Parts: sequence; C-alpha cells; structure tokens
Amino acid sequence: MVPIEGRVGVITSPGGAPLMDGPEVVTGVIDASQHRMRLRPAPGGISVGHFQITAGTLGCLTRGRHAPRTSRLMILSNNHVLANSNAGSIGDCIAQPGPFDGGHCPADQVAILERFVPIRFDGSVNFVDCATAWAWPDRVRRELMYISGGIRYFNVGSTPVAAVPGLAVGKSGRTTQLTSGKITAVGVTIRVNYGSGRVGVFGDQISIRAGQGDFSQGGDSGSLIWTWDARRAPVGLLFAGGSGTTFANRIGRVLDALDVNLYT
Amino acid sequence: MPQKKDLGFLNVPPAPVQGNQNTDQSKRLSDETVSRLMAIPGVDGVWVESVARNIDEVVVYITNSTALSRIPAVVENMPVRIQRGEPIRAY
Repeated sequence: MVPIEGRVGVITSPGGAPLMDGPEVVTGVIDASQHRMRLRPAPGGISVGHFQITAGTLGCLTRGRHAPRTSRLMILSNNHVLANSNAGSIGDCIAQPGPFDGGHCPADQVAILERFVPIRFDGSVNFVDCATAWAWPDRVRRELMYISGGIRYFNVGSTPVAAVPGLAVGKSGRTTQLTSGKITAVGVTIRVNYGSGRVGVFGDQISIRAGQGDFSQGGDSGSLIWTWDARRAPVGLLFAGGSGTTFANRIGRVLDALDVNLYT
Repeated sequence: MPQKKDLGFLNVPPAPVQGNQNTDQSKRLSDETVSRLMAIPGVDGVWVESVARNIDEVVVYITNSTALSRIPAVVENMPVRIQRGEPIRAY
C-alpha cells in the first residue's frame, strides 16, 4: 500500500481542472486506490485502457493458440476497453493506468492493440465484447492483485469451467476491487448501451449479483471472473451492468473468438 | 469487499480442475421467445432464474413502464417476473 498523507481542498480532474471546491481539511492517511495507480509489472485487476477511452480493467494474460501468436504475451480485456468499441486500430497504444486515471501514451504504454472481435450494433446478436493487446513482457505480470494491508497478488487457474447458476464467483477490478457474488442466471439476453446512441444485443451471457453491495461498477469492465473457491477457475469476462446486476461473457466463447489460451 | 479472514484461499496455488465439475442443467428460452420478448419496446433483458429447486421463472428486465402492458404473465409454462432497472451499460 502506498499511503498518502495530505489535505483535501480543491478536488481536481486528472487533467488538473477543478471539479469541486471545498474547505481545506487536514486528513489522516488516505488509501490511494491502488487499482487505479501505475504499477510495473502491471497485474490483472488494475486500470488499463486504449489511449482514447476513460479506463477499464486488465483482466489477465493470454497467449495465442497458433503461430506466430503462441509467442505473444497478450492482455485480455474488452473491446470497449482496449479497442475503443471498434474505433481502435491494430497497433494503438494501451496505457496503464487508463487515461482517466492519469495514464498517457507513450509514457505509460504497456501494450499495443493486437486483435478485437467487432461489436455489432445492427440488432444482430453478439456473444463477446473482447480484445487482446500485445504486451511488453517486463511491463505485465501473470498474477491478479487485491488490497489487504497493502498490494497482494494471487494466481487464478488456467482451465475454465462452465458457468452455472448458484456458483460463487469473484473478480478483481479497477473500481470495486476484489468482490464476490453468485451467478444468478446463464443464457441471458440483454441490450447494452455503449454511449453515443449505440446499443448492442448480447446473447448467452452470465448474470451475477453480490450478496451485499455491487459486484461491479463502471471501470470494472474487462475483469476476469473466476470461481470463488480453491480452484479459482476462470468463468467469464465482465463487460456490463445495471441496477445491481453484472453481466459477463462466457470465458470459453471469449478464448475461442480470440484464438487464445489463458496464461495465468 | 470480502473480509480479510475469508481471503486465505487466495494465498495458495489454485487447485486443479478435475474435468468440468459444473453441469449446467438450467432452463433456456427458445430463440423465438427471446426474440419476441426483446422486440417489445422497453424490454432490455430476458432470462430464466431458478427461485427454488425445480421452480423457474422468466425474468423480463424493463427500463420503461410502457412495456408492462405487452408482457405476458406466463412464458413457456413459467411465470414471468418483471425486473425494473436502469439501462444496462457497458462498464
């Protein structure tokens, strides 16, 4: 943990513009949100993003199933995190942290956009919102992070298991950090808003709810979802939510669509 | 945030997956039913949830109350539960 001792007065945006004025208050130790900080090597669960977006989450690492991609170490996250919802170009800069959290290109670059599955906004059914970014090996790490008296790391398994209702699951994400919940349904069909009037229909999704609070919030997109048990087996890729319900792609569909294996 | 005492399982390597231990026996709606419900303005989601053992219900997620009058009470022999919410957003 990197504690910051300071004063709260004018709260500014990452660009420095004042967002809110208030009386100056001398604080104690502030827990800077480590999931939004710059960290090298960058683990799963931390802020990341295409240079033209706000911020999402670095899910985990993968490697391609076929040459020449078998030798590539790649970040797994969403299309709307790494490829700016279809607007990105292969080779674009991926920053850690994401731009909203202060990341800039090229100073904070960890990877380049490598592949994405286009999202269809024409009313036809999508199954995944996913992308890979080719990372510098010394700028990323296989583990996921969480905060418990400091930054801690853990591994997840590399063999996915099927999502089933009632299964306890967890995730590490940029906004709500480490959370747990339960799968409430599979085979879910939803209509998802991507901003600027773009709406995508998604089929065969997973829905998740936390027992208390939210399982996720904006900025957690791209988080890997895994079984909350000794296996920590990958189940899904978080990408959307609303009114306390989180939605995720099936991880098997994600890996097949991107032609990658998990490297955890 | 889970309690610190519950996080001990993160400190050891992941246990191996023995085959695929999860068998999905949940009910699914037909594509035709899903298409029909999703075509109703204000309906933004459709799925099946189990409320008890062998008791399932169809959840219809709506973001606009004008959809209410067009949603059937029973779908594929399962009762329908309306869930009102905000528009689902890419996170």
